[in-house]
Amino acid sequence: MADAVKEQPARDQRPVVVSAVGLTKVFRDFWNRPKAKAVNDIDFEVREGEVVGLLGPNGSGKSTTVKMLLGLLYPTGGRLTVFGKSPRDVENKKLIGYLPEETYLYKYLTAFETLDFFASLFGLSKEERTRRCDQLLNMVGLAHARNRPVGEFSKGMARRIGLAQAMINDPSFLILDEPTSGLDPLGCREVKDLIKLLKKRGKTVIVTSHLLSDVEEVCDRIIVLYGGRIRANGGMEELLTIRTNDTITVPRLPEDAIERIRQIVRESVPDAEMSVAHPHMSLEDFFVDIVNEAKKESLETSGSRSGGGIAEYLAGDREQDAKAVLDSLSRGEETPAQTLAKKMAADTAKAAEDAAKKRQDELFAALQASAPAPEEEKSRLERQEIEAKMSEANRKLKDLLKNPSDRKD
Amino acid sequence: MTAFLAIVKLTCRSAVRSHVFRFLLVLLLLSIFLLPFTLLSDGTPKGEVQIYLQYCLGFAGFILFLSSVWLVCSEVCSDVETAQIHMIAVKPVRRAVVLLGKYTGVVLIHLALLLIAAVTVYVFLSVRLSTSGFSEADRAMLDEQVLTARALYRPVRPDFDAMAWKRLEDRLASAKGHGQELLQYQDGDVRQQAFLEIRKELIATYGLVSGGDSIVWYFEGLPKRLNEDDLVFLRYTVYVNRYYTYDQNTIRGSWLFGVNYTRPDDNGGETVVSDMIAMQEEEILTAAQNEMAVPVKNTYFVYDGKAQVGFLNSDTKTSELNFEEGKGPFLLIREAGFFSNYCRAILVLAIGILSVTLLAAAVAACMSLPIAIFFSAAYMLTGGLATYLVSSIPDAVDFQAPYTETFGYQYGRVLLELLVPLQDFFVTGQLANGELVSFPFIGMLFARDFVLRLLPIFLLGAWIYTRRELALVSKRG
Repeated sequence: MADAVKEQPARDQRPVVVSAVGLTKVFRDFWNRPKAKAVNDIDFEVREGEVVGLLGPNGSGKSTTVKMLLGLLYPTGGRLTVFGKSPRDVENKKLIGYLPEETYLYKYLTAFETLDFFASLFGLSKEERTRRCDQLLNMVGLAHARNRPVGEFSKGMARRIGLAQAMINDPSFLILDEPTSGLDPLGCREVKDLIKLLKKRGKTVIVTSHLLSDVEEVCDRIIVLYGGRIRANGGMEELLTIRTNDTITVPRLPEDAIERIRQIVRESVPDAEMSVAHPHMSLEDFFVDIVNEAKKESLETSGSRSGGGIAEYLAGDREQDAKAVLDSLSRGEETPAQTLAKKMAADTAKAAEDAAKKRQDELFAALQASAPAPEEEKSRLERQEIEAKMSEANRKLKDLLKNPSDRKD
Repeated sequence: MTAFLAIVKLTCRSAVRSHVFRFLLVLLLLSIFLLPFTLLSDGTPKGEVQIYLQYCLGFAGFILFLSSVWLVCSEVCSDVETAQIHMIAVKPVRRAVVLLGKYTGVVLIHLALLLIAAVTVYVFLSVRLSTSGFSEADRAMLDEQVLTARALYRPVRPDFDAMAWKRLEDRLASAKGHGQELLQYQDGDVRQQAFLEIRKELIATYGLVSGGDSIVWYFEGLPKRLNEDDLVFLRYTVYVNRYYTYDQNTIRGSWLFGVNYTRPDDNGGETVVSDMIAMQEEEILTAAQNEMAVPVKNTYFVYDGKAQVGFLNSDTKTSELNFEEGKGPFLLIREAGFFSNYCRAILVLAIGILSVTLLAAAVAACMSLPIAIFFSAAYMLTGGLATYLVSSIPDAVDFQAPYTETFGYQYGRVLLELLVPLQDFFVTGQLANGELVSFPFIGMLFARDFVLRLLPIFLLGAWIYTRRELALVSKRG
C-alpha cells in the first residue's frame, strides 16, 4: 500500500489540471530558520474530470498542499502548476472554486449579499449574479434565509453558504476542504450528489476530508499523505479491493440452502474462514429515508432545508452536452495514442467482465443445483421470477464488487 | 471594475459597523456641536468666530484623520488575520485591487463625513453670526479680518552675508584709520571666523529696535494692480527685550509707511518719488497679535509690487523692542471670499485624509494591526517633531552652532524631506485668521506629500501585499 499505484494509461490522456513535481514547503521562524517541513518533495497529478481525495491525519500536509494550490502559500521547492500556470495567476482563478475548512464570511452580510459579493469578484453582471445567487440559495436549501445575516447562521448553514460561494462561478476545478463538515446527513448526501454531478459534467474536484466513507463514495482516486510525503496514490478500486476474498449477495435463502453453499465453499477452499450475515443499509441511507418520509408529511424545520436540486446553471444543458459529445466524436480528434489507450482499456474491461460473468454463471449454476427439489413442481412463471431475483442479486453483487466497503466478513 | 466596486461597498458597510469608528463618530459630533459651547473665547467677536473655524473644524479634521488611519488598518489587517482574505484571494481579483478597494472605501466614507462636518460648521457659524447681535463695527472687522481670504506677504529677508562682509570691511578700515593694521583679519580662518561672528550678531539683532530708533522692512511681490477700495492690512507681534516673553505690556511707537507718487521732472516727464510718512504715535500691546488697516491709500502704498513699512520706537524708557522674524510684520491683501477660502481649507483636509489613509493602507498591507496603527501615527508625529526641530533651531545654519544643535537641525531637515508632518494639513488656523489658502499651496501639498512621498510608499505596500503568503499570517485556518 505504501507504494504509489501507477495510473491507468487511459487516464493519462486527459489534460492535466494540477501538476506537482518535487513540491516542498518548509515553514520558517522569524530568523528564517527552518521550523517544519510540511510538504516534503511530493509528486502528483490531477487530470481533468477526476475527483481526487486528499487524505491524511492532522499535520500531514493536506491543508498546506491545498493552500499552495490556491496561491495562499508559496512552495519552497519544486514546481506546482494549475491549468499549466502558476497557482498565483489571477486569470486562472476564474476556473477555480474553493470551499475552505472553515467558512470565513462577513457576518453582517445576508446570505444573498454574501453570494452577490463573491459573484461580483468574478465580474458577473447584476442580472447574472441575482440569477445564480437565487439558484444557489435554493440548491443549498437556504432560500428561506435569503435575507438573514450569515452571522446568525448555524455552522451547517454557514457551510452551505460556503459551498454555494465556491460554485458561484461554475468552476472547472473545485477544491473542497472538509465539504461535509458540520452538515447534517441530508446535507452530506446533497454535497456528495453534487460532487458526483460535477464529476459527470467533467469537472475536476479535490476533496479533503476526515470522513473516509464520504471520500470513498465520491472519489475516483485518493492521495494519502503522512508527514508531508505521499504514502499512497491511486484509483479507489485498485487500492481498496481485497482480491483474496469474495462476497455474494443473494435473496434470503433457506437454512439448508445456506448449508449447501457452505459445503460447496468448504469443498473449494477447505481452510477458509466464512461468515454469512444479512446485509444492512447504511445509517445515512436510513436517516435520509426517515427525513424524506417526514418531508412528505410537511414537517417544518427552522434551520436549513434540504436543497431544492442542482442550480440550473450548474446542471448544464444536457442536450448541449450530448451535442458536444457527438461533435467531439464526429470531429475525430482522437490521437492514435488515445485510440490505442481506449482499445486497451476496452479490452481490459471486456476481459474483466467476461471473467466476472463466468464466475457468476458458476455460482448461479451451483445455487440452482442446491435449490430445493422438486424443480419440476414449479411453474415456468415461478422460475422466471426466481431468475429475475437472481439477476437483481447479480447486479447487487457487481455493485458490491465495486464498493468493497459494504463487504461483510 | 465590478470587483473593485464590490470591495469598496463592502468596506463602507464594514466601516459603519466598527465600534471604534462609531466612537470616533460620536467624538466628531461632539466636536462640532459641543465644542463651541465649552471653549471660552477671548471675548472678542473675532475670537468667537475663530473657535468655530479653528477648533471645531480642526478637531473634526483630527478625529477624521485618526478614524481613517484606524479604519483602513483594521480593514486591511483583520481580513488577513482572520483569514477572510482567503475567500477573496482565491477569486480572480488582484490583491492590489483589493487593497485599493479598501483604501477607496475608507476614503469615501471619511470624505462624506468631512463634507457633513464642513457643512454643519458653516451653517452653525452663519446662524451664530446672524443671531449674535454684533455691532456694525464688529461685523465690518470680522468681514475684513476673519471672514475673508487674504494673501500674506512677508518682508524681504536682508542679505546678512553682504551686510556682514560690509561691516567687517568697515571695521577693518576704521581700525586702519586708527593706525591698527589687523593683518590676521585680511584672509584665512580668522577672517572667516570674524565674518561668522558679525553675521551672527546681525541676525541676533535683526528686528531689535532701541528706544528712539527705527526700523524699515521691505516688501516685494505684492499685486501690481490693486483696486482703490482694497484694504491692505498690517499684522505684527512685538515683544519687549531680546528674548520674547508672553507677559503683555504697552509701549509707545509710531508706524511709518512708504508712499510713492509721481512728480513732473525737469525734462517735462514724470518721476516717481518714494518717501515715508509717519503715523501718529500710539500705544501698542506687546506679546499680542495686532492687526491694523494700512492708513495709506493702496495706490500710493504699493508701487510696482513693492512697499515699505517702518517702525519708530518712541518709548525711550523701555530698553528694546523685538520684532521676531516669524511674527511679523506681515502685509495682508484680500484675494478671495470667505466661502472660497473655507472650501479650500476643506480641500486641504481632504488631501490630508487621502494622504494619511494612503500611508496607513500601505503599512497595514505588510504589518499587523497594532504595529500598523503605531507606525502610521509615529510617522505623522515624527514629521511634526521634525518641523519643531527645524523651526526651533533656526540659527543653526547661520552661524557655528554647537554640534548637537547642528545635528538636530540637519536631522530635522532630513526627516522633513522624507516624512509628512500632520500639521501640514491643518490650515484651519490660517482660515481663522482670514489668510488665503492658496491653490499653489494646495497643489504643492498634493504633489509633495501625496504624490511624491506617500504614493511610492503605498505602491511598495501594495507590492508587498501582492507578494505576501497570506496563509502564513492568518491566526485562523
